[in-house]
Amino acid sequence: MSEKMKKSIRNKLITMTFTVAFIAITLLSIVSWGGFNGIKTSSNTISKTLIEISADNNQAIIKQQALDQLSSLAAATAITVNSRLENIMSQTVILAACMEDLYENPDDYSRIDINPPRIEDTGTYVGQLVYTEDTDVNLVSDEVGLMGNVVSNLLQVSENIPEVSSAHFATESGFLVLGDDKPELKLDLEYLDSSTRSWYINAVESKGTMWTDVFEDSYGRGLAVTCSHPVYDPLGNLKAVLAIGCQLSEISSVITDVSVGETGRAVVVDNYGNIIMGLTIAETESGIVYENSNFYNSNDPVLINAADEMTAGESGIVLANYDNKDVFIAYAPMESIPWSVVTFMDISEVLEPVYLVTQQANELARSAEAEAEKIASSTLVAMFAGMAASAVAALLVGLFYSNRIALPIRSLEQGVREISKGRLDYTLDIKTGDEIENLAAAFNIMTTDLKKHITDLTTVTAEKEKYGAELNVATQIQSSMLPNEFPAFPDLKQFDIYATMLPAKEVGGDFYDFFLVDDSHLGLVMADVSGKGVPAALFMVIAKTLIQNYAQKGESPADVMMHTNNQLCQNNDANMFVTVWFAILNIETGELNYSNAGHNPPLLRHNNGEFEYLVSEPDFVLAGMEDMDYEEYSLTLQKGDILYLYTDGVTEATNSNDELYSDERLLEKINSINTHSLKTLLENIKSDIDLFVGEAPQFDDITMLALRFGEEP
Amino acid sequence: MTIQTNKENELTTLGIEGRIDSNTSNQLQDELLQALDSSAQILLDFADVSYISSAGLRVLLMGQKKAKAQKGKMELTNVSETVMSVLETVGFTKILTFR
Repeated sequence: MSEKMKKSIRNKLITMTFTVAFIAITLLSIVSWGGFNGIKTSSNTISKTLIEISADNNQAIIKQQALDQLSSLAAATAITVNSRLENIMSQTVILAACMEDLYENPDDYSRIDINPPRIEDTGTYVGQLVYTEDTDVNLVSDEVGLMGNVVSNLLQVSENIPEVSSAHFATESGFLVLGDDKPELKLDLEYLDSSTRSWYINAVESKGTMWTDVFEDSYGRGLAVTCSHPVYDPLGNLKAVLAIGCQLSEISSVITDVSVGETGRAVVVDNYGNIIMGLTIAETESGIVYENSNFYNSNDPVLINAADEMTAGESGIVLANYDNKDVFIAYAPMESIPWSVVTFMDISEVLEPVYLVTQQANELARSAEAEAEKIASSTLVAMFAGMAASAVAALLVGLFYSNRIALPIRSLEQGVREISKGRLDYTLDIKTGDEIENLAAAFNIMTTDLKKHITDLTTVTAEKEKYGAELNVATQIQSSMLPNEFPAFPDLKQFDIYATMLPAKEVGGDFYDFFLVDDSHLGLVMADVSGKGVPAALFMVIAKTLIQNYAQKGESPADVMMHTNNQLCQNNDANMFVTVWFAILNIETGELNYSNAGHNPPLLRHNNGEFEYLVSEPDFVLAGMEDMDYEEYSLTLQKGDILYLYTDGVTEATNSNDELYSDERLLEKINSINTHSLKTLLENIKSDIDLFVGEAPQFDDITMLALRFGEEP
Repeated sequence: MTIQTNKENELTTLGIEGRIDSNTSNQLQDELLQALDSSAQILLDFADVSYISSAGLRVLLMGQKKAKAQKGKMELTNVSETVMSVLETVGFTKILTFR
């Protein structure tokens, strides 16, 4: 059982330590893992958010940059194209000024002939003269000669400025002078009336430098536009209109050179929404403006609205659908001509860097998340490893401490076993510094105390044994003092007597006595000393001796009582007393004289009748008070009469229900016994008392005496 | 056995309950003698005394003697028939005072 207990405590400690540690570690791990996950999640969220914010910012910036670039490009291209056109305009103005100078000062100039277009001039920059149909050649010959002075200027312009296809002027007087290198194209041109041409009409009507609308070149050289300026004589009469024809394809390189990224491009749109330079021209050498190349042909209201703004000379940028693509369109007006430069870029390209940035950001976020996952999983592994290590550590610690606790308990147990075997000099030597050491110390103290107590107990027991032995001696002395040899008077046939005393303790306070006062008188004493034990026994001895002494002096029972009482009252500090029934029997006559000092009335069977109580008014007990008087009574016994004396140990024998044996029960019992043997009589009464008392302890001495007057029948 | 002591002026009443025998007489002896030290008049209420042995009688004798010696008075009251018969048997009725 102790082995089990030891194991049990040990196992419990290990289990407890392990469980506590395991629970703590697990909880810690769960909390840590939860916290870690929380951190991971929020860090992911934060990094994502940061990346998204920065991506959004970047996207906005990149987009804005792209759009700004697109707008700037439109503006810059507009300026470039415009400057080329302004150059043409200035040449127009200069040439017109030259002609006006000729008209103002015709006499300052010689006359220079101008040939009609000739085959031999093919490929040469040359002035070519063409008349209007109804012109009188002779009338205008001087004017032609005068104007011949400006031909070199015309040729210089048309030769040196690439986009200029021809510099020419037509006069009110009815002739046209062309300065270009394509005379071969006009060989069959007999007459030409320029006054119906838009460039002529525009200049006349506006009285200033004017651009024509874009038109198709007469010689199939693509789109063209003409800048014209009127020439007046000093009187303000219109004399001619000077014009410089421009082939847009030549300026178009300015536009087509423009490229922004892969899809970005620029075009020039005229005041009718037609794309006149750029895409269409670059892509189609034919120079035909196809359907989609007019913004007003678009289905997208945004684009149409933008076209309105363009023709109104405004700039802007819109997201519109053009040529079935979503494109950003930026437009900027030109200063000198109601055209606009429009730059396009596919939305995808504008946003591509944005997507790229977003993608990069997302990749960054993903990699951060992956990194977090990686850290998380390695942390989880570390956590499990830590848990396992902690569990092992907890197990070892538990084992260590349980051994530290259980092993001292085991040695304690062994020590206690040794002590229980009676080895009281066994000392427990346990130094654990805890309660177990205290317990061991307590055991050691207990052992020492136990040893001392055993020694003391041995001494006390020895003393008690000695005392008991002495008491036994006292009991023997007491009983030897009472006449206890029967038959007591074998020689006397006048009476028979038998008595017993069963002390409650070793030495009782009851006593009986009988003695011959003289040859014919027998003294009978039945007494009960208050209290028991040695003091009662000593008191008894004194009382017995005194009664016998006074009786043998020949005194009557009353006198014996009186004298004995007074004698006993001397030096009775213990306040003991004794009840005495004393009688003197004349064994010859049967005369019985008796006195009763507070004793139970005897039972008498008189004249072969029933036993009856010999009631007399009792006098006071002996040794109670001095100078007490005692009554004396007298009666005469018949032969066969039986006198039964007893102490209150008989009538007051108590059973376990606190019931007394009682006078009545005694009377009933004694009358039920039919025997001649006094011994049997007393034994039967004693048996009945024992039966009544049962298991209850004997409280008082049980003392009985029986006397029969006369011989046994 | 239990004893209820009640002191009123010069009179101390001892209410005794139970058996007065060799086991309990010492208690009665202590209480009675103590009461006699402080009171000239003692009343022993025997209403609930079921039995008195010679040891108890001895205590009554001691009490009576002490009361007499200091010219006081010890009285018994409510004595049951059983106890009274014992007291009669031992002649104590001659020296004790009953109320």
